[in-house]
Amino acid sequence: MTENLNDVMRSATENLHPNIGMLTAGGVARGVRKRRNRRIMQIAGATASVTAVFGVVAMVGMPGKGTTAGVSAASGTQGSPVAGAAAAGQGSKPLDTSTEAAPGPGKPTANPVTGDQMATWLQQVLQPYHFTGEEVLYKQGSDGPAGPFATLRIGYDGQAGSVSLNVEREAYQPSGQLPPYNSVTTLRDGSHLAVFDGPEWPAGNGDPKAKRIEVTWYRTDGTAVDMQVLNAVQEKGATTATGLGLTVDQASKAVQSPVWDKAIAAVLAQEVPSKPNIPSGEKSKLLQQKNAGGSGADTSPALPPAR
Amino acid sequence: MAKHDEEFLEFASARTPHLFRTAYLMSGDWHQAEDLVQETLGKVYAVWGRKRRIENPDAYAQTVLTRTFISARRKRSSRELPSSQLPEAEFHEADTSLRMTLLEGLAALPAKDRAVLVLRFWEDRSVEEVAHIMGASSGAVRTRTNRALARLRGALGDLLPDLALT
Repeated sequence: MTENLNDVMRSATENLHPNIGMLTAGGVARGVRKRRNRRIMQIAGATASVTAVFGVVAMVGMPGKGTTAGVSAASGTQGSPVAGAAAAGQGSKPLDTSTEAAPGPGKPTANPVTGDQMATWLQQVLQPYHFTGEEVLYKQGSDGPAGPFATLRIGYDGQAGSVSLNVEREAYQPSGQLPPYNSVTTLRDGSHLAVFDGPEWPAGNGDPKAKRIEVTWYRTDGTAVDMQVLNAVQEKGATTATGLGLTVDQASKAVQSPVWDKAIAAVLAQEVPSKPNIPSGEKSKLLQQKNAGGSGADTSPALPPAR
Repeated sequence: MAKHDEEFLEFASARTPHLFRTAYLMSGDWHQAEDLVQETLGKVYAVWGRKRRIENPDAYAQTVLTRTFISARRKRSSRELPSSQLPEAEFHEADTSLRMTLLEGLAALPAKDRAVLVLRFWEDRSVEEVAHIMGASSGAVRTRTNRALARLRGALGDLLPDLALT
């Protein structure tokens, strides 16, 4: 009997019976957290605005402080337009808050970055390794739901593989015993370098020749720069090279390159425009809520809904 | 309980089984499907009852689910940690073989290919609707559908020889 895909999918799922009550309750709980989170952000934003205004007034009102420089400093406009990037630099402070470099009210907002820029920067950090036949496979700017990223096809040794780089807001969370192929190094500035170096299918349920290196630099400002190297042009595609195009050391160096500063600043600027003045108690509560919230990226379509 | 909460629970109770099946076909994993559905319901709940009402909650939830799935997959397999234990089976025996075969075929595809096949063939969405949901052009959806079907045919060829992927 010839079947079509629609019928097969229907047959394959008709006897799946999820626990509707549990899923609905879980969904509501997450929704409540998201709403509360949003309200706290709104309140914090308003508080931050008031604080900034009072700060400016106080600075202007102080004898000898009514200079342009004083006003700038009080309102947070000191530094270059990429202040976020500068603050997010190599020597960033230990993790106390994920918002150190986030621009506050009155601060210049970092420019968004485009997918083209991400692809160019990725090519730039790969330049020392002289890959051939580079081709941009995927790219997205900082306005995308998963943060700016780019994926390149790279040629080496007459074969081909791929390299992806993604900048996102994700703070390091220590875990207990690490699974096989995973390791974490704490760097001198308090940031963390998480490395996966092993088969693409660690559970052994895929092509045993497929290899993967993934290096994630969890910065102290709550952002992460993540690079994945595959010996396949397409993730989950056929293996197209025997080895990988980069070593762990090379990937580690690439993720820590200052070339990503603008992308980091854009990510920081985009997501939490008014976090710095959140009371620490509320801040830790927020982090707990975010961590408990499952898939983090807000991928909700704009209202009104699709269709 | 507020009226909009009651409305949401009514919507969620009615829609969850379908959302779960869609999520299961996309993710190929019971627990990931549960997580995806809860995240989707959470995002819908967060905007439910706002002044700008969701005019078509079914379509909205479907879009949220698809985008959440693709977004999570884009963050790649670093979050897929190996486990020595299989998730507990909550299936009826009858369709296990068919289901496993289909899931194996789908699992071999990239996330966007899976999403496009599930939306086109399980959800019965038009090319234009899929394009809107996935934020892509109609042409890109057509191309991806054809490519994904060819890949699935390749993956399932020996396992489901009679499958007509049309």
